[in-house]
Amino acid sequence: MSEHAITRRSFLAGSAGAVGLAATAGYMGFGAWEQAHAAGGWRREVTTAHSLCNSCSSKCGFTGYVEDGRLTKMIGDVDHPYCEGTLCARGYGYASIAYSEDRLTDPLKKNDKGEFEAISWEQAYSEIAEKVKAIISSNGPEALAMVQDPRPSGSYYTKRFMQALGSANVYTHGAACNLSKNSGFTQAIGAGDYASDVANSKMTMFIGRSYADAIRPSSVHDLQRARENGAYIVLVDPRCNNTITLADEWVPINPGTDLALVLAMSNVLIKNGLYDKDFVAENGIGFDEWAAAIADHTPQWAEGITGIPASTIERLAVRFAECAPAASIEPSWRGAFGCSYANSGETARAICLFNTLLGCWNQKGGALFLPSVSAGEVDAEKFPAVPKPEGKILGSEEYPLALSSMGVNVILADKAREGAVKGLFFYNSNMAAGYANPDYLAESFSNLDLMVAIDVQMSETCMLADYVLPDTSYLERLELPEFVGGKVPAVTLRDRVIEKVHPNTKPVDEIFSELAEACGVGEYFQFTVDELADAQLRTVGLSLEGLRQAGGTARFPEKEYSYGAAVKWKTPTGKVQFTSEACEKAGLSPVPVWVDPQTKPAGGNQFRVIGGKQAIHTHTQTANIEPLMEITKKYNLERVWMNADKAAQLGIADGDEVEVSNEEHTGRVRVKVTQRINPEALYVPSHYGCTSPDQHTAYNVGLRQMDFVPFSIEPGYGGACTQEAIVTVKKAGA
Amino acid sequence: MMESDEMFAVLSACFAPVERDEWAQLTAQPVWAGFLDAARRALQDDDALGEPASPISRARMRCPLQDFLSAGEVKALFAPPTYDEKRAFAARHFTGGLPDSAVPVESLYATWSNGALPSPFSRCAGMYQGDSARYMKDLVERMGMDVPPQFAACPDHLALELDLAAVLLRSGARDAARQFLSERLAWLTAYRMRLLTLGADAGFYIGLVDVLVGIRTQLASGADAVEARAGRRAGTEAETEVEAKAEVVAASNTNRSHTCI
Repeated sequence: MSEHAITRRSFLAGSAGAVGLAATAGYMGFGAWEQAHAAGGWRREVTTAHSLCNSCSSKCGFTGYVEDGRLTKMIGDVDHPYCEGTLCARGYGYASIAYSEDRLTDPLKKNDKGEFEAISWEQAYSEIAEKVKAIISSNGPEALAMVQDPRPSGSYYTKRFMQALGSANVYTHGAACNLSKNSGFTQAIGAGDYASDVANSKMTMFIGRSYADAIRPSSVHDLQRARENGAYIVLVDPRCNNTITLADEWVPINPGTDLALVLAMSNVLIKNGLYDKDFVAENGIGFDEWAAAIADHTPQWAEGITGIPASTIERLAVRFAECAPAASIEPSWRGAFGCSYANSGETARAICLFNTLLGCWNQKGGALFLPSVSAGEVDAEKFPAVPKPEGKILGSEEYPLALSSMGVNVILADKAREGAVKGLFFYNSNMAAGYANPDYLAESFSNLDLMVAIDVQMSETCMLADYVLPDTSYLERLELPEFVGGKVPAVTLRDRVIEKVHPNTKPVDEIFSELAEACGVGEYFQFTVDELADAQLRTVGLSLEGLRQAGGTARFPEKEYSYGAAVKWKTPTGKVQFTSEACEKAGLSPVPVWVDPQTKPAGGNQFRVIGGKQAIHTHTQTANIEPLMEITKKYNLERVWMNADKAAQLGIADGDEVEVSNEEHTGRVRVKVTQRINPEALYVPSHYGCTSPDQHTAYNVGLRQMDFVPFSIEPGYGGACTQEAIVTVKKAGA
Repeated sequence: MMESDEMFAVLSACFAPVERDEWAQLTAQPVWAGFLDAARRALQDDDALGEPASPISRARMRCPLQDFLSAGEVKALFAPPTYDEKRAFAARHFTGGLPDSAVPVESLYATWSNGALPSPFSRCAGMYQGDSARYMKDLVERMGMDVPPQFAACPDHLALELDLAAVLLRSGARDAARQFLSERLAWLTAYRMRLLTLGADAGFYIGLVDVLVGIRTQLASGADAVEARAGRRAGTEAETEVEAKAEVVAASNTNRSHTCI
């Protein structure tokens, strides 16, 4: 070997290390290159692909335009039911995550010093698999669990992986989102959700939900149509949220007391005979029992709890009756009763019963059960069914009303402390920061033998893990088809828009297929995501290529919804259940009656912490996105909100720095002083207070709501009680 | 004696994932001593990266590295990391998304796009695959080569930029190499700040970066001299060069001076 061989080796030019004259003639300075592009003289290769946004759970469709390999444009999909051609600010801003400097680029393992080091995929798989096998051998597969925030491929592969290992413990983020709501609805009407026909309604009441802050474009479009049609829109919320511009009335309720309002409005309808007696008689069971139980839940009674004048409650109830059946209480999502209080599940149940009094189910302008389509059976040889695990999902005994399709994820903290759970996987989930008290969760997870997190950036959950596996961003992968319910149901595709930015990242389908192989259950993963996507689409008369050709979204007009259809109630009794045996067995009242929240501010400088989305963010997920955080900083959106009268009493002025404190945490932040919030509430935006220094943009901006929330689980339903937190507030330095 | 193209090839290997044998050969004597000597000369070469100098002119370039670098950096450069140490450093710092990540990629220290390829987040800073990455990819392909797969995410990785400089020099395109290095190495001042936050571990790499920053400064003063002799060239390229030079001069003011005669 020549003495220069080693110093002339080139990554670009190989062992020759040099190029010829023709090649060097191709040299071009940066300025000339920029000018050539600017002048449009550069040959550009343009490709397009249909994808689904990942900035929130709505997953709106769009077509991504890619020039010379780089994303340059996104156009909302007019056929997508949630998007209707419009993306929100998050949709555009979040796309930058593909190129973020904070992307995880290699598999990581925590070393003895607690620092992460890059390792190979082979090492990661073999070490994780060894630990999985050891846990199964000593504690059984039920000592393994998975938490994931559902996405098209993630839902499928995480569940299949855990089931292949023999564990039923697959949890969504639900206990910190909409578990209580969906579980409460299920007790009353046998369905986890419904849709309010807002656009065609004469009256719709929103409780703790703001279409203008937690945006789904089609919902905002519906609300605009409702306004044009003259609907009366009521916002029940401790905070006058941004939907007010499309609403008629703000009802500034004391936080945690929505149940009292709904029961009192029900009381008004029943007492005055203003409810749909025929509908109730035909569809309900246990109505008389409920009517008797809430006979004393009058507007006057509710006024003392809710802070809403009895006359307002009475007026709203009567107006509902006048508008029925083209009226309903909108189902909401996380906000007031998805998971917030000790009475959230019961609030959800009461709302369904109130809508039943209106006789509005499946009526134009009322509350609808919209159709959906799902994939049928696929080739069992190619895609073999995984045997159903023997055990039940952990938490189902303690929280029997919780939907098993979601599970009570927060119970995993206690199970880890008890040693019942030894190994935890997280996919697309930042449980450690957003689901419950972060310190409590961190302490709980420190007892695990194995913690694996799969994500695109170093979340607080990743920081606690033993292994972190780098996911591709949503723009870089094909996922399984997404079926979307609606008046005309549809199926839509998240396809690969750009090539992988980082060669050593992998999509979820590959990660779990390869991990399954390492764990010895690879026989259930002998197919690619393309093959499964195509097989699923063929069960509904489509194909992967066909859906691509069709632009990425296909509708099923033959399944179009029509008003007036009789409802088959999928409850144990086949009726709308004013009484629930399951609730009684779970230790709750058989009929929904008033239940106090666990906590209540005592006045003075005490407040209840409430959260809530801002239009440019989704929980903690988007805080590290620079274009979105710029908006936060420009408008000081990290500030907490305090009622102006209370602020005056406490000597606090708009823009002051305040100290927010309770037994769990103390933090400082600036305050927005406003009349747009109930005096009992302190609004802490749900997006800030990131403690992961690896997230350069999000780190250390604002307060994190969950830091102030003591660990607690809602009886029966399993919600994370995310607003059962009382704090004191004073001017910083005072 | 090691030539400048070889010096850039060694610098490139320092920032790249290379095999154990290759690193052992590069850091063995006399190769490593030759590299340090080449770096020393490049830092004081008035006709920076020009034709190989005569023995006598080389002899005149006698200032030791200590005149250009701190004692700690010199010490670190004289004791390059073992392969395992290099790999461990890369596993902690040349991977993305960690608090101690210091991936040597130009895009992370620049505005994503100034308009060559607009997108919804053109003006963001510190993202992969910025204009410098697109430029590098285009340039490599125009010169009949391909970006290796391990650099697909970042064609503007420092290792690849240095490798291309070595190829240009070796292929006789010395003017192009000079311009390329002047334009491409400007981000190293910001990158040096990043390395400084990593503590003692990073001494070796800070030393290497300081060598590169020094060479770039030397290129600027050399280019001034050349231009003074040759006069301005007309056209786009010349204008670009002037812009680049203005930037270089500004950078050189921030670099510490030395008193080498």
